[in-house]
Amino acid sequence: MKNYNILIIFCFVLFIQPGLAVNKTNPDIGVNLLLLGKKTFSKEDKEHEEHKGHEHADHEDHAGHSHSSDGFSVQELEVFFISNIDPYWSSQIYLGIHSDQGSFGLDLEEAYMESLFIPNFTFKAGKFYPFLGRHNNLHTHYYPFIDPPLINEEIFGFHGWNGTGLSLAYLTPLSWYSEIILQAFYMPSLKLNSLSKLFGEEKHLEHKNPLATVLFFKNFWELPSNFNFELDLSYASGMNHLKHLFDVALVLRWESMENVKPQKVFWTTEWMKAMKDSQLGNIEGVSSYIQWQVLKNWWVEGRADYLLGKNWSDIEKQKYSFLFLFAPTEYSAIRLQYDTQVSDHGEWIHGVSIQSNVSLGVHPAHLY
Amino acid sequence: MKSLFLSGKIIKFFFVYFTMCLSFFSEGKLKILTSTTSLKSLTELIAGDRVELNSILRGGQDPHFISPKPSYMLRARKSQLLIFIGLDLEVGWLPSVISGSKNLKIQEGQPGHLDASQFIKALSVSEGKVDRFFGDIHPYGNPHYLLDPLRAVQVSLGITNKLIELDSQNKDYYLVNHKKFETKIKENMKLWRKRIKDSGIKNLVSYHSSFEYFLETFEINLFGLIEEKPGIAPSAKHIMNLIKKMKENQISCIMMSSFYSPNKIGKIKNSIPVHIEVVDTEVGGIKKVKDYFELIEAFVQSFEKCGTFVKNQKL
Repeated sequence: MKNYNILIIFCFVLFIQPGLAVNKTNPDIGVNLLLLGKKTFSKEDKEHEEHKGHEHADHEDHAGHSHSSDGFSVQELEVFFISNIDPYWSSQIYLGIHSDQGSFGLDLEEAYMESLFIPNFTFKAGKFYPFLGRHNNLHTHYYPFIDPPLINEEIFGFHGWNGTGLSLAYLTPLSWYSEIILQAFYMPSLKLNSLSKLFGEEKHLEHKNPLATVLFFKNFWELPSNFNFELDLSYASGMNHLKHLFDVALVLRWESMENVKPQKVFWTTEWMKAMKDSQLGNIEGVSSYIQWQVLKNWWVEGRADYLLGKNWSDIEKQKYSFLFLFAPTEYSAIRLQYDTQVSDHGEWIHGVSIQSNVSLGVHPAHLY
Repeated sequence: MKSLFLSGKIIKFFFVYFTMCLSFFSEGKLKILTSTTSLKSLTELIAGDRVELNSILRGGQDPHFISPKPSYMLRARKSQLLIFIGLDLEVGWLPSVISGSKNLKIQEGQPGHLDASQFIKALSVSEGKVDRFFGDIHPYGNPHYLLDPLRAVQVSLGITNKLIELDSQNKDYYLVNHKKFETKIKENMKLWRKRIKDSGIKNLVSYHSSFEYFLETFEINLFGLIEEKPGIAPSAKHIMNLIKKMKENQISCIMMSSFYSPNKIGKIKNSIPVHIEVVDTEVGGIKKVKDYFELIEAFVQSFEKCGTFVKNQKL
């Protein structure tokens, strides 16, 4: 069935593409292709990853993707369509095609309509990634590292959590950029086995509460000497066993204004805590990473990642990642990442990944 | 009980916050935002102090490669008119700035959305199939048209008409200023043409196709480009071929925008006698040119320097 879906999508794309030359009202179409090669240097980890891969394969929405297996694979093929519908609405649709154990699965990542007619507000309806911290609403090809932070993967799964609902964003007229976004997701008909680990361990999933609400508060300040600072606060509640989810993200950026030798340094730190029912306990984690553009086409990145226990000093899981990125143009990049982390048995395990990231067609700007 | 108390506090916080926000609304002069500093300068010459004028980019920034910062959206949020270059120059970031501003007045199709490229006839419009094998091309035409003073007059007229449409009270003021601008350009054109002719420069090598319009108007031949394809660093083979051709044709003037590093053409400099002129292609770049006239004046001076170099070589 999944293969038929893919066929239909490609027929759709092929049908639309030739019209682009003659019909300017067709939507902008783009494709992102992620190819991944991965090698883990630990027998224990390999067994764990294989086990994890099988677990994911049981789900429909977040089918086990090749990110977790050693070897070469097509990590993701994302096709998207962007267009204004009429003077009042615009729409974006993102379809993700993922490989798993040699077969392919289709996932509707986002499909929503956005208002163009309400001053200072944007109303959105459909399926989309909620603003739960900085990372959750990123598409896979725009992850700062090949994999998400530990805490995000633990709570939302590898590809993040997307829900169907409504969103209202308000850009305040303050002297700095200050935006408030309120989102609500109501999914009583969602099958339990199609949920990711969001808001409850899978084995404990009971569809107690189909409503989830999210509040996101983004603030951005331009500072002297080409620095800027961003503070994002997120809060979510509802759906299954989740009582509260808090996220605080701080981003300090410096960008050289000298085009002859462009340089950028971004430092992002994000803390997230999910408070669940008492029998399930809390999940808390911190991720901090630096992205440094050393030359026009070269980036070096480093990340420290922790899952915390009951106390801050009690670290349950830790992971360190280093990444080199070479992007000859805006439309292609090669990323080489090295990870080291402590396994559940206290052994340091290592992994190397190489990812090719290419874009065809339109390539809209990403969220800053 | 405790949660009720907490909810009350949260409601109070948001009430104070929104009241604060509302106090920032104000009316006054027409608020205009331009994408580049050259457009800002042109608009300033027409509108003077009758409008509030701002530019998204600074003079030294390459408009091809910009991230859509939230602070840009904030500037766009307050604007009643957005003027941009068009021809896909800002396609990578301006749509995000416009949608992120949540400002209906500057959305596509609204009176406050002004694509300045509609007032000129573009050069190098792609014909047939194009893709990124050909580099970072602009299929609708070369967007560096403001470096041609004659096209700048056409754009200036378009901006004047838009200003009159949005702010008819100052109609006479805008028309008078446009006339002044047109007259001054015409007067200067005679001098600029003469000075460029006297420089003796008839052929030029440029890094990027930034000067196509200027060269067409001043009847100078674009001999070659350092870039093999737009936005793609030149290959060694391309540079060697270019050196060979420049040597054969005795071309010794290279002009490049301050966005690009002169280090990339070190091989040419070491191989043949050549004069490299680094120029600002936007007002307020590294040489801090103050307005549109100074920008073109700096260009003309660069040709004179090239001419002096060539004459000294022949001696």
